[in-house]
Amino acid sequence: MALSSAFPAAHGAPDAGERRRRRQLIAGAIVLAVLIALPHGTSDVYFQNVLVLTLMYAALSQAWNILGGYCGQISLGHALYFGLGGYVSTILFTQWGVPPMIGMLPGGILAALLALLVGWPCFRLSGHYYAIATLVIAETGLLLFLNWDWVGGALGIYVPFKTESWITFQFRTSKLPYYYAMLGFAAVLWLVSFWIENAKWGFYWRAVKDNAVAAQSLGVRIFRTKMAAAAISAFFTGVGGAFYAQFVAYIDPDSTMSTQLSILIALPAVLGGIGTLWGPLVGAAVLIPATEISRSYLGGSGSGIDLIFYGALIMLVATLKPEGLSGILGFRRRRPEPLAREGEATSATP
Amino acid sequence: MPLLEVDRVSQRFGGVAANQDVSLAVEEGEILGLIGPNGAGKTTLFNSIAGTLVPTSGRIRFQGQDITGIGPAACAERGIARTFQVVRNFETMTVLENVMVGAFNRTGLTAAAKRIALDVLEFTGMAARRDTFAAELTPPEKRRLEVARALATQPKLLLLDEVMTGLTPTEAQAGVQLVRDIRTRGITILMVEHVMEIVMPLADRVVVLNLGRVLTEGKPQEIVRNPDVITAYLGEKYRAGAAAAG
Repeated sequence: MALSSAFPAAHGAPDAGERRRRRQLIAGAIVLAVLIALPHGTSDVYFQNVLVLTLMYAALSQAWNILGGYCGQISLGHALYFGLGGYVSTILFTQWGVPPMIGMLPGGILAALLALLVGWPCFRLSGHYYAIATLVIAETGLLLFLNWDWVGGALGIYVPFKTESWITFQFRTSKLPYYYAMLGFAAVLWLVSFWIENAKWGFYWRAVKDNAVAAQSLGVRIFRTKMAAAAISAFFTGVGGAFYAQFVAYIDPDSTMSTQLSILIALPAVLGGIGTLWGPLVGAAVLIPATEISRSYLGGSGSGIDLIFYGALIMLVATLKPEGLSGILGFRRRRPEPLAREGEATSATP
Repeated sequence: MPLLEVDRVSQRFGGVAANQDVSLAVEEGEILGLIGPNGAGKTTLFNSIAGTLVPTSGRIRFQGQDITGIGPAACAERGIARTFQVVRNFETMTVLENVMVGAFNRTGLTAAAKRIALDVLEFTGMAARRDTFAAELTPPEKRRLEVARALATQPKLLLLDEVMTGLTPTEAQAGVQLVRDIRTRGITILMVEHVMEIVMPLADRVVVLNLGRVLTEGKPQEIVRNPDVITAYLGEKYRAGAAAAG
């Protein structure tokens, strides 16, 4: 169809979307500069540790957001991909001496393949059923690893210290290299999200989330689109798992594959603004320090006050501002909630 | 060869036969109206053509190729676009983004998709609303957006499912003009309408469905005088009166 450019002025006009993206990129550069400088303000190892974890959860949640946020497929099993990525790189390192900087790639790829395997039956389910299925499958994975002796079973695997370098991703004298590695990882994920938001996949994911039937009528293959989101999301989650295993120099099923971790991966995005560019980072910046600090000051009492605090925070945001913290902070553009939809039945009245 | 051929299509839902042996052809460049009273099977037939429903029997051919049961996304790729009776827009996306989703049917590049979308928005008179969220549009604008989105897929055949329903006479008039403009662009149109008054001045040819079967087909002037059509729409008792008037 040759819809002629009878109104060329419209094409050259400054574009609201482009201006918004330019602002986001500038904001991203500023945040990155601040984060590069941040750990130099302190030599406190505890503080640096919190920073590393914050960045890690920001990155993981940004990866989760690709599937759960943009594409709207809520996964409660992302710890499975995280754990798998960690195990693959760790075993490659301890058994065959493959450096984790390389080992994280097969870790991520296997996680992506697993996500496709999970998606094959589960993307035929809709809405809450998908979330429940991922929860159950991740729990099954946890039990398998707990009872699999070759990978250390419940005891896990200690990562032996070899040499302090970026190739082995082992550092003894300082936490700072870990911090910058996580910062790089988080920055990559932010850039991937930034790019993909404006690419064909990003449009397709949001379309599928908003109205799958309408998306199909425009040539969008729903199943393929969801599978792509799952694979990309799981790949980066697996890479994150490889980072984490080297960071703590130890991997076991309970700390890398638990349901609690799956939820912790999803929470920053949910808290910060689901399906938004800044949501995961903002959510992690609030949630992770709050969790860590309340755990170290209140958790010792054994009364679970830190968890109560945590729950209260989420309830507060859910009640006051369902679109997340970045909505309060004005990071994201205004986006109305989708209206209640009529039944998705496509078969028409005879 | 007609652009679209519906060949003895039947569709059953359990014991209900929504379509029975429906055959029709849409010629390239024409506006074909598909009318009929409530429950005549218009929307069922429409959904079969758009790939949403797989007919119980019969074939559907597009440009000579069998497209029976290939699914809605494949239909869109081959050049069949549709709108929905109940508006289905991407509510959390802007007007421009909505139309870009359609444009990605023909390109993988964002810049190209945007160019196509902006052209379509100009053409449909929605350019001024491009940064508005679909949820915030007025009802006639929402319908217009559906048409714009479908056009952005660059179809050869556009299926319109009661696009004029619920519009005021002025809005409907603007809609009629838009449909004419679309045809001028070389796009063939099949429009389902419940309201006869809208189809009659627009369509080159009209197919009337009743109780799941093709009742008759012909030029609009012939259709409005056809006693069987009048009976189907208004019931037996108006038949005599219409015959007397005619």
